[in-house]
Amino acid sequence: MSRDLLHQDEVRALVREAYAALDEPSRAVAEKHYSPEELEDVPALAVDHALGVANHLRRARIEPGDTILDLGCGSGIDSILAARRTGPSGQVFALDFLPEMLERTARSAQKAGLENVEPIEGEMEAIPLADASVDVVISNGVVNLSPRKARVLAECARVLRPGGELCVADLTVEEEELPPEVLTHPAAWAG
Amino acid sequence: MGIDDCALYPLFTDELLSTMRRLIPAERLDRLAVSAIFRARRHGA
Repeated sequence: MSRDLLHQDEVRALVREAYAALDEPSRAVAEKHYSPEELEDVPALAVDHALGVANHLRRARIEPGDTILDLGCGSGIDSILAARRTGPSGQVFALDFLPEMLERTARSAQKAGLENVEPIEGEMEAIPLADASVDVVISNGVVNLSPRKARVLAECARVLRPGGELCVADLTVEEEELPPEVLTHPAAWAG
Repeated sequence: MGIDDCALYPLFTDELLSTMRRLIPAERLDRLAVSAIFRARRHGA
């Protein structure tokens, strides 16, 4: 009998439960990381539920016509901003494993008048896209949620075209400096 | 990223923030995590 030594199912269930329960809108996170000009044309639904940890899009090399994968799109703020940059000749695949998030992203894209955002349901450890099909992978505060981070990065490499770019924002903590009561709290795994 | 930044995120409940303030030394509360951006390019272009 195989054993899940990484507790992947438990971690996934915890993350799924924590994020699905988030319903209270707040612009605080978006306003911390994005300028008023950047947020100007982003629908409130995406702004009010932003949970990213930085503004990596300012560093990402997105050209008109690029195909982009937003890994863990959440409510879609980065997918919307990336879709505007790649333009109508480009495409953004907005990947998330939570249908609730994909629904918000789809509604936000529709409100923004964007037809180049395609929500796709899936796991970041098994990205449902073909090899070498993406120019830029973006991700904001999501890779840390995976119990198999090396697998996630391998999947990003698989779907990127040669010369394609990965641009990721995420958090690191120095575990030995934080008490176990904090490190083992569900929010530490989900947040 | 300090505890005030954490408080912006709904996953950090009042109960958790209170626990963190109680257990983590005050001088550490303003640097609990590091937010980093990294870029990598797939070879072969």
